[in-house]
Amino acid sequence: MGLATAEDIGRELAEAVAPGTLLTGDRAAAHQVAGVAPRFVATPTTVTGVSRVLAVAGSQRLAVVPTGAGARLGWGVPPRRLDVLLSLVRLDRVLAHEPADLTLSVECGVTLEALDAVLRPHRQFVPLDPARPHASTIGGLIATGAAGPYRARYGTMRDLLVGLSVVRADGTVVKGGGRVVKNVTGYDIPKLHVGALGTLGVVVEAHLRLHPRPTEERSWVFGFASAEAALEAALDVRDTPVVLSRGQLLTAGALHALGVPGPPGAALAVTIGSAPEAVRAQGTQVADICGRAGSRAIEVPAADAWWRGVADVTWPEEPATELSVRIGTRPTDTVKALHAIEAVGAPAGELRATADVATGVLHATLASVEARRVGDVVARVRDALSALDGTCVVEHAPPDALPGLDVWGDPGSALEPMRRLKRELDPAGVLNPGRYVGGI
Amino acid sequence: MDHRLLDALREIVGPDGIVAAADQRLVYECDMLVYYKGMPDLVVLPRSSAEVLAVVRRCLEAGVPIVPRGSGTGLIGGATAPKGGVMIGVNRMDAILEVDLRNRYAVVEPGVINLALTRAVQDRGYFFAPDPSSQMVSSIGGNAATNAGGPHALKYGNVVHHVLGLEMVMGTGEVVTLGGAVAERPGYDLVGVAVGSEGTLGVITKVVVKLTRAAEAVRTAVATFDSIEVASAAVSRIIAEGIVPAALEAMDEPIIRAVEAGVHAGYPTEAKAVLLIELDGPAAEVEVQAEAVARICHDTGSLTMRVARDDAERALLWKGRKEAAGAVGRITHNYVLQDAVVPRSKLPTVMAQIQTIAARHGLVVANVFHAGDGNLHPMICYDERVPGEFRRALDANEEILHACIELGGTITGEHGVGLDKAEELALLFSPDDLEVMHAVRRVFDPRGLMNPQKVFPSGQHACAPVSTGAGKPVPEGMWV
Repeated sequence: MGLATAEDIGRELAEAVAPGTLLTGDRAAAHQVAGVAPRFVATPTTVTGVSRVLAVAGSQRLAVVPTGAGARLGWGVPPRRLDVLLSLVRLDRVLAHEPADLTLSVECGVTLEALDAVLRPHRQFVPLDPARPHASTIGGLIATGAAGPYRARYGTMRDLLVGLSVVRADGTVVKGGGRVVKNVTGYDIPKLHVGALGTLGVVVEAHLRLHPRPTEERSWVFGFASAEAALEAALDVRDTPVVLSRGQLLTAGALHALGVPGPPGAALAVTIGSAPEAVRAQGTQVADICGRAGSRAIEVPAADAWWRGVADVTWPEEPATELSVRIGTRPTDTVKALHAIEAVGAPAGELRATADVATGVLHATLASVEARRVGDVVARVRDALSALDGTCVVEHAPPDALPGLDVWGDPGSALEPMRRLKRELDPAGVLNPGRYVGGI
Repeated sequence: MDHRLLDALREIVGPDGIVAAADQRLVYECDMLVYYKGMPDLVVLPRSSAEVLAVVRRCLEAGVPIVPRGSGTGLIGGATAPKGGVMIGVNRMDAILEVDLRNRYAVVEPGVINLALTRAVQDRGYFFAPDPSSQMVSSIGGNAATNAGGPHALKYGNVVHHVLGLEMVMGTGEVVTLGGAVAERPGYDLVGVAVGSEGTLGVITKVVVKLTRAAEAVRTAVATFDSIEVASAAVSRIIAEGIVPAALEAMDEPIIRAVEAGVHAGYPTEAKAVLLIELDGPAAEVEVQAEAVARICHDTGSLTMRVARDDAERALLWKGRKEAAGAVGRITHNYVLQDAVVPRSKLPTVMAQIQTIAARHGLVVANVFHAGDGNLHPMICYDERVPGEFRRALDANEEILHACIELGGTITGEHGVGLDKAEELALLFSPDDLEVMHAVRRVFDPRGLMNPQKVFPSGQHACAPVSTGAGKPVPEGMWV
């Protein structure tokens, strides 16, 4: 098998997918991943098709990069090898929606936006609001673990994914978890795939728990003279029984990008969702706390669109010169983390950053960073964060900065078991080889 | 037990950390599922992670099985030593190491009792959300190992949703730190797979847990119905309406009788079924939801509805629920306990099927369960002194499991697999599916010495269940 020619491989892959759909040559090469051109682009329409493609890839030890709608395809280390770009976008069916069970089964190529259309009439939703929802598939959100401001109340994909089907690197189709919302039957395999960047298998079907949409949601923005003042108010709110659906600290740079006029030093933006009476009562409590710090509420009209803007505000606008990082820290340390970034790479007032006051997760984008400085900026941010036990993952960097850049940071003593896990589940190194943590 | 190993372990944990005498080891031969017995050759009670690591390394050198144990309140034969070896009891590692309320987490040693953590933070308005009914005695290490649930898992989730990080001594003889207080650590979610791995990957030596802010308002009510099917229909409708209560528990007539005979929780004994419904959240939200729940129960055919007027009454209603399983000892000599799950919309169907199955085997089934998330606990009553009844109970148990799987459910929602359901795992997972779990096992425990014979099907029952002899077949204070 190992001596198959490129032609043989092309033929086998072509047979694995619907006739005439395999892209080769220049047509494949146009679909670059972080500047690397694939030899083939396969877009199967069935789980069996995915399985066949991976069976070929596994036997030929090809390097496969799975992709959904592609919004986060550049995350991770650029591929060293790229034989097959495996697109899941045509696996986009809703398999089962059980409104009375608050559960949903989908193929993984379905986008968040498409699901919203299905679920909204039932007053239910998948409570994830990451950037670029139209270009975010469920499979992609599983692979990247990407989440948005709703994580303050609803958590992340980890908290929603109750079961899945995965195609392993050799084409074997396996399932993990189940379809019910409470389940401890065997190891919780679905969690292994959340945030794994497709390195342990290609997720093809997902079973999700849904949440009821609150009867009403309202959002407010509170301006503060400084990020410290905004954080202090946020932590005071968090120390009450008020339930925030979203709670984001926004920097002046983020507010400017969002078009908030005459932006203050920083702002706290919140969403509260509940019965109208309860939204009003809690909104008043938040306003009282922020009011004591001298801030007055501005209610956000058309809040869903505004929040999409918040999630997008740290998305790289100028891919050639911008650096976007995701930082994990304690909520009380978020402002320290912001200052650490400002200190090394962003003039005060220009940093586009949002910080989740419930989970301590920051997204920050530095504009106009010279490629040759990126490695140093990231290293210095990590250095400052290490005193806070914080983490820093590069989501986007100027392409010229990528070679040799440590995108992920150090996972500590967990790296060894992670490497062993990869070797166990993908011994031939077929799936996204070299793109993940620690060279996995 | 090889005396050199014994000496080495005594050296590590000290003489007061060794339980060697057979009569003292007796208490360690089973957990709360007394059908399965497996006495360890030795029990060690380390006081620190370093001691656990040293013990594990010695045991690996000697090639003997290692069985971690918390408080031993499990219901799956998980903390037993069917192949002998060394049991590591973590009870003396019971320090709360750090509490950070502003960041809503705590770091605890594995032997900390679940409720002790809540007690340490509740006066400041916080709690540790997972509340298995055993919470006054079960350990957080054990809760994490089994991914325990509890009534409030409906709103707050099982333990995995509340564990941010772990320190674990792996079956490789190394210590690893997984996750932590800070989110977004790079790499695989190994916390997610270690929680619920039932001691088959390693010994948990530290747990970073999420703390939850207590709700502004709590309202607890009991609604009565003239059948468990109708009560189940009300549950399905509440969920379908988009209301996810904090807890939504169902009890049927045999349970009500058993509870009222002992605890006097104030459940109306004339009722054929009761729902214990708890709403929590912002006061105005609870108000609105309480009205909706009352309307749904009424429209579905509830007979009465009573709202607890104060904390004392609320506590009493919960006392009845939490002690229901233990109370069943008053109405039956023995029982087989189930932990299956069905989709919530299938509750009325499965309740009817359970009654049919029980009737066919001439047995009584008592039901006390986490109705809101479809997690059933049918208790199949039998009398081991009557020839053939135990066999019939096991057959009925098997049929109920199959019925739940048919309806799209699973075999365990919160108790775990252990010895008890290891073979049944193969009902849900193909050999290919199971191979992925084996691969995970090999990563952490390549020699298969960590809690052997648990979780994974062997193709044959590792250790046949034996109905216990005389004595107390239903342990006092058993919790589901």
